[in-house]
Amino acid sequence: MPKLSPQAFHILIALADRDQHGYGIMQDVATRTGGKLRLSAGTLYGSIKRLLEEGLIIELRENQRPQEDDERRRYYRLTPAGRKAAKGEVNRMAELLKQARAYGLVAKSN
Amino acid sequence: MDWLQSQTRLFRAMLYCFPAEFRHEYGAEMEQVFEDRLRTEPRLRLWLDTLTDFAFSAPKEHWDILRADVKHGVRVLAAMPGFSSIVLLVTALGIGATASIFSLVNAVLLRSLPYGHPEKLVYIWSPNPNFKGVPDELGPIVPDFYDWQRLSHSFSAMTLFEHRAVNVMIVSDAKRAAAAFVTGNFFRTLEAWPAIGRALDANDDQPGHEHVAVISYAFWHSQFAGASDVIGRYVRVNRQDYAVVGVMPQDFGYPFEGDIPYHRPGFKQTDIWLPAGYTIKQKTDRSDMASGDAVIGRLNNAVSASAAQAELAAIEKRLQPLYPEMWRGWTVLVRLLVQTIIGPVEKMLWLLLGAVGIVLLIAVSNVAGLLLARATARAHEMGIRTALGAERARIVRQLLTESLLLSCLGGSLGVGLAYLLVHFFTSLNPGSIPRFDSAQLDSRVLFVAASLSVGLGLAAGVAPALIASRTSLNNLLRRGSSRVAGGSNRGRFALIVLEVALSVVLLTGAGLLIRSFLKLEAVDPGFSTATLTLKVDLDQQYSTEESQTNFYRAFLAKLQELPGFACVGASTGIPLTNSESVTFAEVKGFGAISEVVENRAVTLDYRKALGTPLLRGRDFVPGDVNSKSGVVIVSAKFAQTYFHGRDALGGQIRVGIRDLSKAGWQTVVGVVGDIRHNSLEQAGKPLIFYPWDAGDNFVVRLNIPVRQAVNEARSALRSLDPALTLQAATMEDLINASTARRRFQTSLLTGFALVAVVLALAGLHGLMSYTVKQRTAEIGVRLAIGSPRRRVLSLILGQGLRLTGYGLLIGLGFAFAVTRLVSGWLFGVEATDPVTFVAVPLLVLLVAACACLIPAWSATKIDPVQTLRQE
Repeated sequence: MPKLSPQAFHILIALADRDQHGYGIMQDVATRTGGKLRLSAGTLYGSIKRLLEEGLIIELRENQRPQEDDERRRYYRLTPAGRKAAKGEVNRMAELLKQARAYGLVAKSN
Repeated sequence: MDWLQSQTRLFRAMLYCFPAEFRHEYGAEMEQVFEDRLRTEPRLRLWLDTLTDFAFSAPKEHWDILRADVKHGVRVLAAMPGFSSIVLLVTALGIGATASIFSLVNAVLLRSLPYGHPEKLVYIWSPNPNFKGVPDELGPIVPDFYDWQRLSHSFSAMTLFEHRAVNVMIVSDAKRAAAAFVTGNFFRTLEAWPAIGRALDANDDQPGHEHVAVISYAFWHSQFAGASDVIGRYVRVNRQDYAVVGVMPQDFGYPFEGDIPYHRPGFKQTDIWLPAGYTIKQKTDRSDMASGDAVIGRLNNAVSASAAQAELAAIEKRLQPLYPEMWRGWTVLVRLLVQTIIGPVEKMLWLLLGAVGIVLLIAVSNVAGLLLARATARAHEMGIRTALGAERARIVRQLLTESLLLSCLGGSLGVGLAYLLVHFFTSLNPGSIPRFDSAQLDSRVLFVAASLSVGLGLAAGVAPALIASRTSLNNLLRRGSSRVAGGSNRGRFALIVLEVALSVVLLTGAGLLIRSFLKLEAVDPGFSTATLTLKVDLDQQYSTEESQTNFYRAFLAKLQELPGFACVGASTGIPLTNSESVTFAEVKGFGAISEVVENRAVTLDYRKALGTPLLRGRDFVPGDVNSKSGVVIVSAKFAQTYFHGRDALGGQIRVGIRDLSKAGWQTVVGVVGDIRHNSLEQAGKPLIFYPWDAGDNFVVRLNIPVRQAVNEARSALRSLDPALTLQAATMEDLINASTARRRFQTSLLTGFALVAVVLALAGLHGLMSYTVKQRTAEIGVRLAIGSPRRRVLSLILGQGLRLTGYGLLIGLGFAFAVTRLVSGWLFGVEATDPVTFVAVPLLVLLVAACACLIPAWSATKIDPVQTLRQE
């Protein structure tokens, strides 16, 4: 499985617990990173396009969208493959973190 | 909310940075996100954010598509190796030929001369209108130069130099080299400075201080092995040691061959620069008429060449009383140096570039034709893709990527081809084209080749891509895939007509030049081409006329003794070497001749050795030399011009430089055939031979091979004086050198014309084969209902020849209009030469018939049963 770009990983996380539209994903990422990572339109939709092509997310059909929303917006949902890819990335990071901790690179939290 | 709308509009416009496909898919969404952010975020930050975002993400999207298209393109092209390799070959030919000729143009015409502000440099010549028949480009009498330098205000610097062959002693071997004896300002005038050491200056130019030398980069490497301690070492020139004070950069070799009009000592470039070191007497005494070879001036800022000309002409006029009356009349001619050097070859190079441009145009239309055929064949694939939702722009883009892929690959191959061609061209040695040897594929040439490749890919690819992408699924389904492939061929027909027309233009031009060349080859030069010529350059050891004559007599005697030297003669000037020797003359019964007349002092056997026929009278005999009752031999042209209707034999003429009335009358004892002295293209001029027993140019009729003879002559010279060198060439060599430029131009143009014809007819062949395949069903039906195969053959053949005919008509029309461009190079034929204008169409029709014959033949082999079953 190819390594996920940080942007793609963040998008997958943003979609982990609920379906979202582009602007929602952007806000979600910005909030979670304390405003450090802001996915602007070009980068955001470029990443979404690639995630769609790789089958890690899908676009919701019109009847699956939340009723109240602006009909121009498209909603995206994590696929099982996407969930697996995100988990894989999380495991990879956890492994990395474990190793770093063993070498005393990580300050003890709590 | 007006500001919101205007900012959204701006954002929408900026979306055009993205590929169309991406924009159509996500544009509206991106706009929505932007609007959302506009409501919540500071505008300045949002815009900064958006700009940086676009700067990275837009190229990334383009790159993604490009990568995918290239990958797809490589797969598609690899799947049809025949088609791809033909396109690559055609492109490589077109780009390679164009790049190679452009690199010649670049080396000779475009690249700046290696002198500071070369546009400010002028040649200053000193013609004398009293000497009719002598070129204007004469170097001035030495004292005139010093007076110009002293009195004029138009120039910031001025230099006079003499350019000649010297004998350089390398260990114990003498070698010929080109040297320029220059006045102190030479390097300052040219604004060219040594790479190592210093230039010559005014101090070096003082008599007694002149034993210093600046050498060329090539000479430094060949004679000093590029040693870093070369400064201060000695080079022995004409038996004198000169201390090397400087080494010039690699590109400096002024004067190069051809840099000085009418002056050809036979060297590609100059290797040694020595101070002229004129004495006070030489600088002021006009009595011996000693002149330099050329003067170069550097114009002051804001002074034009014509203003300088006016000033110098006035000065020169004031100097005239200083000359004996007979010798007055010197004037001044100021000419821009760059134009003088480049002018004679400029037209020829532009012509070649134009010709190769036509080849490129044919290559483009050829590729376009191939791509068109491919496009119709791929209509099915494109229809399916459209049906699957691919946008038209996307398909056009992908097809263009494919054609660009082909053209850039072909272009790279073409650059490789150009590399080989440039080496080949420079090895052809077209003669006296300055800096021709320095042609190379520099960055400018590579840039042009790259641009041409991209241009070719676009020019040839756009129409096919548009046509292929037009297919809709509807058409596809309605007409069936086999019918879609049978779309209109009108575009390809037009391309073939264009190709034939262009190649006819080239072929006509080449035909005219070939005819001229053949006519020139057939010219009787007035001498035998097998004659060996030998020349010895004496140095200052032989400063008196007597010592020179003694040496030449001794060498002549030595040569006459050599085995295999059947006949040896000597003269003061041999044909095709630009040696001028002129005199004033008067013919009894005709009067004084207003033009100067060519004259040569020749030994008794000179005529026989040269192979010139004796038409009337007799040769010189030993008693003629130094006899009181002078005798001369004249050329047929002389007899015809000045003894008009009278018998030249026994006629009286007198010649002289100063006062003719004091000269004695001499009797004409023989008339010889005309000799083409200046060039093969110029009919022999009136010429007078005097009897003499020596001369510095030797001619030999040989019974042994040339190489052996030259070796024998060399050892004979060494036994007389080991410090001297011998220049040997057969008359055929001299003819070849004098026609080299014409041969180069003719063979290149012919080569281009042949490539053009091959490309055009390959295109025709391809189109006809394709047509036959398309019309298989129709032909099958025709055959099935009893049409004879002969009819089918003539059907296809007729179609191909009709296209060729249109091309011929257009091409010949064009040729009529443009052959006047080559009229300056024609010899013995008119620009509307009927032979060429008949031969070219016949040739093209014949070859076109051959090209169509194979497809036409295959059409007659179609099996009607088989095709009908398939229908």
